[in-house]
Amino acid sequence: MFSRKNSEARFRRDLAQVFPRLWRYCLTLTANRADADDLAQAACLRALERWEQFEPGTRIDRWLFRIAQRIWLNELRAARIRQGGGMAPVDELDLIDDRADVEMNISAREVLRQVMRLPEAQRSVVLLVYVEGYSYKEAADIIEIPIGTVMSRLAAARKALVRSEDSEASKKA
Amino acid sequence: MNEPLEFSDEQLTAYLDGEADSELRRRIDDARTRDANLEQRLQRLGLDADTVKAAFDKLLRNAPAPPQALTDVADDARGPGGPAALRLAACAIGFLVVGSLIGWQMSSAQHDNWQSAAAIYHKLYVTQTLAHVNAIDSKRSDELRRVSAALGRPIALEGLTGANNLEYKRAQILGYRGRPLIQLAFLTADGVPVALCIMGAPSSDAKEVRADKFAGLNAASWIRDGYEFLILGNTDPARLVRFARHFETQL
Repeated sequence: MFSRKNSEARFRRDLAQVFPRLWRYCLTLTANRADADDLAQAACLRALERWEQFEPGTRIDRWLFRIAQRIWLNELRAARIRQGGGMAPVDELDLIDDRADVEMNISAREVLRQVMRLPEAQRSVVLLVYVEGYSYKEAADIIEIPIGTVMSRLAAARKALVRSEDSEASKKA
Repeated sequence: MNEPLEFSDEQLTAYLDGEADSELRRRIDDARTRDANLEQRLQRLGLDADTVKAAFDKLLRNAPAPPQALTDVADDARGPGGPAALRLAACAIGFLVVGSLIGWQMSSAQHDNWQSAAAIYHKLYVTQTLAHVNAIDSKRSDELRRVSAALGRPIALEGLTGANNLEYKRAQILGYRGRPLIQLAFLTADGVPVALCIMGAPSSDAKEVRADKFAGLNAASWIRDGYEFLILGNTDPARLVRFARHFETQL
C-alpha cells in the first residue's frame, strides 16, 4: 500500500511538471486559450483516473499528449462544433497575455501567429517534432497516424511557413 | 513536360529533419552537388525550427498553474481509501479555485460567476463518469442529508428520482469562493450527463425558469426561496428547461 501511495504521489508530481507543456500542446490543438485550459484540465483528470495504467519507465509526456489528443478529437472538438461554436478564426486568438509576457518580442509573436494559422493537423505535428523534439515515429504514435502522414504534414507546414516568412519579408522590404 | 522529381517533398523534409535513412541521405547529398533546382526546393522547405521552438517556449510562461491536486502533497495523507470520484472532484474544484485566483480562466467577464465555474467543470463529464454510479437508496439518502446540511435546505431523494428519462446518480458538495455549491448529477436515458447545481442567494429575487448558457454550455436556471438553481447539460435547451420545470415543482 505504501509503495502504491508513493507511486501515485510520484505520478502526480511528474504530471505537474509536464503540465505547462501539456497545456501548450492543448493550445496548439485548439488554437483557443479557453479550450486549451479546459482540455489540459480534462487530460489531467483522465490521467489521474487511469494513473495505474501508466507504465513506469515510459515517458509520461507522450502518454499525456496522447490522452489530450484523444479527448480533443473524440469529445471536446466534436462538442464545440455540435454546440454551433465552430472553430475559432485564428485572427481572433489571444495566444499571449501581454501583461504576463512583456518580453515576448515581435518576431516570436509573428512565428506563433504563422504556425497557428496552419491547419490543425499540421500545427500539431510541428509542435511535436520541432518544438517538443519527438521523432517522426514518436509523433506518429502520439497522434495515432502513419509516419508517412507525419512527413507529408511537416512538408506542407514547412512550405507554408517559408512562404509566410517570404511574404512578411517582402512587405517589410 | 516536366520530368518526375527525383525526391518528394516528404523525402526532402525527412532529410532536413535528420530522419532520412543513410541511403536517402547519401542520394540527396549527391544530387545537391549537381542539381540547382534541388537546392531551391530545399530552400523552399528551409524552416528554421529553432526559431519556432524558441517562440513556443515563450508560451510556457503563460501556462496556467497545474491542477491543485497534482501539487498538493498533503493530499496523500488522506490515503487511497476515498472514492475515486470524490478525489477527482477535489482535483477539479482545486483547479477551478486556482484558476479563479490567478485569473487565467477568467479572461472574460462572462466566466466570473459560479454558474460558469460549474459549467466548466460539467464540460468534463462524459457518459462514463456517471454510468457506473449505482448506489442503493439508503446510501443516497445519507449523501443527500450531508448535502442538505451544507446547503441549509432539505433535498429529498424522492424529488430527484421522478423526472422522465433522467436517472439520478449522486450528490457532491463543491465550493465557490468559500460558499457551498451543491451538484446533483444525473444521466439521461441517451447517456447525456446533466447536473443540477444549487447555491444559496439570500438577497436574490425569485426568477422563473429560463433557458441560459454558461461557458458555452446549454443551461436552464431559476431562483426561488433564496436559492439559485442551474441545470447544465450538453443537450437541447428546451429539454433542460423541461427538466428545470420538473425540479422547480419537486424540490
